Amino acid sequence: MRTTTERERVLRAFLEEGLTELPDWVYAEVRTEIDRLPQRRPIRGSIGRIAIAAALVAAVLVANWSRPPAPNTPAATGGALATTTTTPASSASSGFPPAGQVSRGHQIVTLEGVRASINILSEGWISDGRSRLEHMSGGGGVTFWRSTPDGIYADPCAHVPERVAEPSIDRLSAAAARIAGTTLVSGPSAVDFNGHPARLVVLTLPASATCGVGDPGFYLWYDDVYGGQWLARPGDTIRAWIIDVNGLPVWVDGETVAGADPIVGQDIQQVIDSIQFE
Amino acid sequence: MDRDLIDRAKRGDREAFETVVRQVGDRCMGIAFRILRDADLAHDAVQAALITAWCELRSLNDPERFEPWLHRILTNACYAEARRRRRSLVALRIVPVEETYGPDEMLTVQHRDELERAFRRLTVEQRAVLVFHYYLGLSMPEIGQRLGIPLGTVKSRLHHAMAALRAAVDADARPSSPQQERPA
Repeated sequence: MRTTTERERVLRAFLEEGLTELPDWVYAEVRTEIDRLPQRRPIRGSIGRIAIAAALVAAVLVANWSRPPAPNTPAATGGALATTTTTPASSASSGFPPAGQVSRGHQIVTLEGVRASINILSEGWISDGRSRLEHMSGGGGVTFWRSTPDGIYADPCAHVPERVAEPSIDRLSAAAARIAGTTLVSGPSAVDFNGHPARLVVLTLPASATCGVGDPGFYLWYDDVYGGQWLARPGDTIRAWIIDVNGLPVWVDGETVAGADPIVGQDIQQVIDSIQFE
Repeated sequence: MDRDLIDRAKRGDREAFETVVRQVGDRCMGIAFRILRDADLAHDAVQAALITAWCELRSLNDPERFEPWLHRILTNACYAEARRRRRSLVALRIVPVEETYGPDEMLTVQHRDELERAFRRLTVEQRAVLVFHYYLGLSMPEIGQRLGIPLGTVKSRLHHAMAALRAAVDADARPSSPQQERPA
């Protein structure tokens, strides 16, 4: 057991490591925006200032959203979303549709090393290039777990993880169904997932949730490599399909935020229904 | 920070502001990367913060307070960036590890990874407090001022963040065994 001083030393050493250099392309883009944007005249009242600052940050982030990643930088691999549409060929090589708006048609995803195709019927999806399709409405999305979750959060607010031993679709779905503080809507239910046995668990975040308002929310399950999944506010609902693909548990989940248009749930279901494992 | 540069930038001198940006950019990157644990997100957050700072610079009353003011904007940009990707599962690209780690040999490969994972499980607000305290070396009252939060909130976030990290840090003290399953 370390002393507090030793712990702090280790933490300082950890924080000393990592990137400390802003790439030239960021400086260049900042300069471009400075040349384009006028300075705002100060206004009275902190609320107004905060609102404008927030709006500016949001505007810049939206601008970044549509900016293709800078070429020839390691950062470009998962950075700002590009506006280019995807093709099955491009997603086939990376295991997930590249960042940006996803075009209609067939795409390839790789889950736990298993290739699968999905068929996108609407133009309302944006890929993060990694594992997530976001509904453009902001009402929800689908997460394709490239690596099946390793466990759940025993304490979703304090982010205490609990690993699921010898993971199977039964063990994983049972763990998901008992996450403290969630309301179990249904499951684990035995379902057929496009020809594969699966378990479906549906959870919602109740009004009594003691965390989850604001970032990063109420944690549900995690993977050691990809991180955690969470719900953001009461009324948000998540459906998790844990699928047995030739003995390998594979996980896909889709969530809708409270008050989302019903079309979001329908679009999510359409994507789920289209998944075909090879 | 050169007060004259800030004054000139406040009056709309773009060259002066670019000079300022060049002086603070790396520092901002260091902070943003440590809060977000992702280079891409950090680039976007720093860019957003610097552009916001340019647009809002006239509202800065005391040029001597430029850096704390910028750090607050940067932290908010980090929060916004994290929220924008809230539904994304942030790929845990562990910082490449080497055979040696400079002056602090206490940090082993295994425990660096464990710390990385533990750190990513913290809320972005908790990470920000840790970074300002242990990376920038600010006191808790200074952090409260810089982030615009009460001292009690700073203490609370620091306490909970350290509690969450404790297991991972303590693991560094235990002899590693390849046969043992690594704790989550």
